[in-house]
Amino acid sequence: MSKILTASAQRRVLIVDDDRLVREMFTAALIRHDIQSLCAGDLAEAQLALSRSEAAGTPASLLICDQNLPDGCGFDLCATFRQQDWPGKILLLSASVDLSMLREARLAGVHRVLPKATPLADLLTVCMQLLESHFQQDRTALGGAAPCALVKRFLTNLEKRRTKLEDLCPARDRALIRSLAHQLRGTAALYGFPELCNAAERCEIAAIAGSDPEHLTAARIALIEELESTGRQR
Amino acid sequence: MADARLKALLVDDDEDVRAMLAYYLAEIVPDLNLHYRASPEVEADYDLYLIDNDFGGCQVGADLATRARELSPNSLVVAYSSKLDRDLLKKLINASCDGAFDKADPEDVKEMLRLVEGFVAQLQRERRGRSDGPVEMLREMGQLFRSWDQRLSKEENSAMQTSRAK
Repeated sequence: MSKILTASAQRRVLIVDDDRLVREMFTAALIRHDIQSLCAGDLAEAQLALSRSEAAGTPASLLICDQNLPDGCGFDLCATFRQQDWPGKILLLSASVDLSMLREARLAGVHRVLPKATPLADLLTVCMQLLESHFQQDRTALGGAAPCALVKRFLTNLEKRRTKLEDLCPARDRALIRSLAHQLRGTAALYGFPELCNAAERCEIAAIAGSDPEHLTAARIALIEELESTGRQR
Repeated sequence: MADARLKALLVDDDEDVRAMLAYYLAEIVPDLNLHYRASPEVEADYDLYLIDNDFGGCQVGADLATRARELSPNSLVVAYSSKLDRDLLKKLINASCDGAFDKADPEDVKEMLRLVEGFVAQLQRERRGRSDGPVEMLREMGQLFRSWDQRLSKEENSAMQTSRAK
């Protein structure tokens, strides 16, 4: 179960960047908003800083982390913090941001990814938004969950979808296959898996009444394979 | 004491979609009182309805939206689908949806969340007694109609071009 952060911890930030000037810039900007910060230049220092702050009863609630660090990448740090059940928000800064990177960031438990070239004012706005979020575990009727846990659950649930699809016969269950593929298309896109979304779309189109049965068979097999492949990412 | 929190109903048979939308909604409204239905049903007295169009191959979004509007006339009713074509878009708008979105399109999902955010902000202002009242609401409705008008025109132009190409 995730730790609940106290009000006093909600305005403390851990800044992890090997560039001292970047750390100082963030620290100065944050202090103007009455927010204290801890600094670290690499993964090892970051881990030490977090441990010390937790031991002191004042853990950070936001991590601002550079993707490229001397002893590893930002994703490694994020994954480590998540494994330790640290419940705070994570803002990752990277020189370049693309779709696969965003997906990987989500799996690592990152809340926002921004290019390093983002103006400081915009970075601070995002920091404020993240700091003002609530950290309660069960904030909705469904039970709150961090993005990392959501994506992992989606990947785990792919097994059920694959089994349903395998049990269907293209000759007899065209409408059901179409319905499953239609549903999966939207869900895969929502979770940031475009290859799975595309495979589901092809299967949905192949399942339209009157289309070539061999085409549907092939599309169904391709979708099952894509489900297996995507599910392995967990 | 009565619960003064905003109340939302999420109607979708896909637990993964419910979980992700719940997460996004909680980011917008941290103390949202969110309920969900995995079957195609709506109930009264919600401020916000988010409705999936497809349940087991049956397109029920329009009917659900109409029913939600009857039950809670002042609510925000939003429908979404994994594939939103021109005909479905028209059908959902005519069913009194305030918005209809394609959940397979990340930009559309963002647009949907912006709509929810705007509505929530407006409702919270009203409840605090700070709304500009009908003028502001009309202005926002006007923007929404223009946005849907542009969208339908785009869909119709696209359909015409496809037809000419054949």
